[in-house]
Amino acid sequence: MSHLTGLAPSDLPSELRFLQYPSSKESTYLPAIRQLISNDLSEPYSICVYRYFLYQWGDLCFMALDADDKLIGVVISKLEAHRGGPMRGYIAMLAVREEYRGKGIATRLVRMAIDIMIERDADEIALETEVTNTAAMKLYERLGFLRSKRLHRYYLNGNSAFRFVLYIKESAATLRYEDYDPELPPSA
Amino acid sequence: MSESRIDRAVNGAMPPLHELSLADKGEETAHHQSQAQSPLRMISSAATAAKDITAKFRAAASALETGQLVKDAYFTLFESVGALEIMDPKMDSGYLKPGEALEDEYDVLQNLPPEEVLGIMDQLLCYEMAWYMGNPLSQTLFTSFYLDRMLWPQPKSLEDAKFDRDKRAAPGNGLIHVLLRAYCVGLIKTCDLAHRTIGGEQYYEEEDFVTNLYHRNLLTDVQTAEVKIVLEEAICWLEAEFALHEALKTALLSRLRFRKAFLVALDFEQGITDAQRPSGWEHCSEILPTLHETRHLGAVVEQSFSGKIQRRLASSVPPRPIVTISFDEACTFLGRLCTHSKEAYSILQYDGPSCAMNYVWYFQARQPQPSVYTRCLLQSLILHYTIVLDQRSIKRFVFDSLQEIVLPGSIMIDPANDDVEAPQDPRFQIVQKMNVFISRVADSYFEIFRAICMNRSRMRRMLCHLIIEWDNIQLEAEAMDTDLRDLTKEQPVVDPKAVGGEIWAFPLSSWAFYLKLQQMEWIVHLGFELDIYRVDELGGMYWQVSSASGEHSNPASRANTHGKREAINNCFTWIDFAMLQASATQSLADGLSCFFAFFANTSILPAPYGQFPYSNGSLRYALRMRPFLGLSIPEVPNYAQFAALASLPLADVPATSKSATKPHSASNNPTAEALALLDSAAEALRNARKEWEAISKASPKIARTTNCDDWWRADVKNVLRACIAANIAVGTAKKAVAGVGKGKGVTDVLRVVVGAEDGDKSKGGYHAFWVVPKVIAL
Ligand SMILES: CC(C)(COP(=O)(O)OP(=O)(O)OC[C@H]1O[C@@H](n2cnc3c(N)ncnc32)[C@H](O)[C@@H]1OP(=O)(O)O)[C@@H](O)C(=O)NCCC(=O)NCCS
Repeated sequence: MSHLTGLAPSDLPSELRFLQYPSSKESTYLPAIRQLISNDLSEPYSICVYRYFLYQWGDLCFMALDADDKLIGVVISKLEAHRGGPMRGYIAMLAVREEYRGKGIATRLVRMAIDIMIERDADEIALETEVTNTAAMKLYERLGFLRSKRLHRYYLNGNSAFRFVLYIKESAATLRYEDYDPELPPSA
Repeated sequence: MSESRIDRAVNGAMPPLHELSLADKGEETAHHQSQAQSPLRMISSAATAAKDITAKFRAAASALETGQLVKDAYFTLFESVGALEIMDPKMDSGYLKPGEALEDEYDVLQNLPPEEVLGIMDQLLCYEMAWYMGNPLSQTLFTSFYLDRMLWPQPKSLEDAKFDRDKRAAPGNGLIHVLLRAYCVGLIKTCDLAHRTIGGEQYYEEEDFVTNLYHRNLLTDVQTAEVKIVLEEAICWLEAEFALHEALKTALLSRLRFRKAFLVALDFEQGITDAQRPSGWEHCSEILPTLHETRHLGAVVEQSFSGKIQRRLASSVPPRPIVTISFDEACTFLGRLCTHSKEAYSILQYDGPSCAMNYVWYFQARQPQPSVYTRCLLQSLILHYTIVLDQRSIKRFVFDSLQEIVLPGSIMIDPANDDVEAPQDPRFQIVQKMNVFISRVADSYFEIFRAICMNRSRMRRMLCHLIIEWDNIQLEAEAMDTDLRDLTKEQPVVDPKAVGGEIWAFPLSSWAFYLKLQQMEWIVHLGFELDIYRVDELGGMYWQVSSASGEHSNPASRANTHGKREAINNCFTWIDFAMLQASATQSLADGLSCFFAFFANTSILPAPYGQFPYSNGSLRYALRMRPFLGLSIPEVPNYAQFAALASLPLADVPATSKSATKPHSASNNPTAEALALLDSAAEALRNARKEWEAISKASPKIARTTNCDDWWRADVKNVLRACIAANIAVGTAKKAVAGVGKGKGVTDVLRVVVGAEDGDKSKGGYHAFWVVPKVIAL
């Protein structure tokens, strides 16, 4: 199964530690998280955006750290009833340091977040990614996500996005059809 | 905003006081001067009473933990994304680096040589087109010092719209005060007209267009005719200017003439459907080549544009880069804008609603898609207030559609009914009921037209909503159909095989059903075009197309036969054609569906028929069918039924005993069932080719494409090419598969490439809706 779901933990660089974001240590980790994520964005998110997620759903944020506690990868997400309908998990940000890519780190981080979401009764999980982001699309598709729609000129740079959705429960399908609008007004 | 300030305080990085108090003042005072300045310096307005809240603020903030978020229920993600961090150079538009000036300096009154005036005009044209492409004015035209000076403070009259805003006689030559001014005035007024045309129709803010004017007024109150005079005067002035080099003079003249032509083309003060307007667009297209040929004569004046002007436009938005496109790009875009806008007027050649709908569909199917201005123009032409296509009432138009599709010459839509005044007359009562029907469906009917005027992604999303509405309409119309029978004296067709022994026409609900199926087909088709489906989903989705087009034959075959002879004949030839089209679509979809199912069953295409950690085939299918799950008809089969119908292996179970790790394993001999799929594909594709060939021979009248025949024919030709390619691919596959055995598995004898897979769609892609796999015999 490892070929399908990302590398088995043993294939990951062994010096890496994966841990849930400890809210009490904001000053230790938040600057590094912001730094890592804004590397791939043309316009940074304000600290409010990070706190919006981390303060309310810090337990849905996972980090990969190397032996020196340097941040290598991070996923930030949330989970709440979507417009009074399904419990929807949403993966807001994901990044892995360039030199560490392609080793299954992001897959592992995303899976940790998804596992908690499922534990907390998620009906479905959604996210957006740029239509040219092959690595991210491949990662999510291998986990079972499907493209549900295309979002025209979604990003500030004029690029379009795909919305990816993963149904966790059969009930997700029977809940009222809604064309939900983008969650995270994007930057990239 | 307020939240970001608390954050900074919590961080211990308390901003200087003047920033805290200034932020509340909004727009005009958004200049955050360097910290050395006196904190209260900027607060000078009599209406603002400054109060030092530093102590209070520090006290309040000290009660918070680091990382703590103070928010009410209305502070959503949206607000948090809108927040800015003051003193962060990427977010704070007022932030200055040490030694950086607040504004760039540029003197709009200086004399310029003609080359530079030309260069500025061309640069303005680039920014103008970048705006039409969907970028905000703040990152395009409003970066020009000339436009800035002209528009701020707001000019009170046309005379006031000039570069020397104070009354003193200014230096500067005629090139600036006559030519460039006329060019800018013309430009601004044209933008005003475009802005109003787009704003009056449906478009999506930010993704299609940004309407923000940053408190500027684009000479809205000035008449187009007055601006035209300014341009004409400038043209006269230039023509009399003998000192100029001939080539430069021609170049400048062509730019002013273009300005005037563009202004006239966009002007809707004579009515949006004014017969002169297409020729106005044609005139623009004629001048455009001269602009392009003389582009090298201009010299760029970079300094006359500055991103820093943004600071005065909106303080609450981070500084964003100027959007630059090349002059070549601008000309290409503009050229298309002119051609498409002129073409849009052909929709007014009325030949019935189906033809109009075909027109919009094929108008929009071209790549690159017509830009937002043209799409809004098209919407205005279709429905302007209550006038449809410049000549029909809404009711008449919907009646025409009913007549074409289900009610040829029927008493239900006879215009003569309106003259009957006796309330007991059935005709009078029919009118009453039909009026109720029209008021129920009219909006939703025009919504179909509107949906297909959107950008391609929105089109699909809007249609997904709209079919739910059409499903409801169909059900309600069924009740109306029953209700109307007594009045129309409809006689059922007696058929012992039918339920209850008789068949009723159900014209209104059949019409709704027909339109709904059309939308379903479009939704799936657009899914192919927009790359929504993964390779492993293609087979199932083509099965979906096939099943929707199979349904199509139902409503059409129920056409009422109680009408006038000629109308019926018209309707019947069209129904024959519609049936042929449905059948051809079904054949091609069937063929591809079987072809892809063959690949899935032999694991030739990398298929997800293993186990996903969080998903299974049924959940994925439910997500894919979501747009259709809410429909009452056609009913969506459940996953197991679907897999059986589409001949696909159930995705919870690996397709072969081999794990999906190695789909290219050598020992996967195709089963008899799999081989039968290949035969079915071959047969369906043979039929598809014959049927599409027959379609391509239909006259424009029959195909309902009188005003869009070229586009339609080109489209059908591409479908035919896809048919031919698919036939060849199946042939190759069949031949190759014959070599299986003797230690050779199916993946040893053939390889499959799907266009979308190798990243380049144009290669081997004949038609956006029909993905033909390439088969390579090994
Ligand atoms: C997307 C991202 C987080 C992936 O991190 P990662 O740790 O390399 O991901 P994984 O190793 O778990 O898996 C990525 C998969 O994509 C593949 N991949 C990586 N780059 C690729 C590329 N350019 N083209 C095709 N596939 C690529 C990897 O090979 C891997 O698949 P495999 O295991 O089958 O080989 C990382 O590329 C990144 O930080 N990108 C910038 C930020 C970003 O785009 N975030 C996502 C926003 S939704």
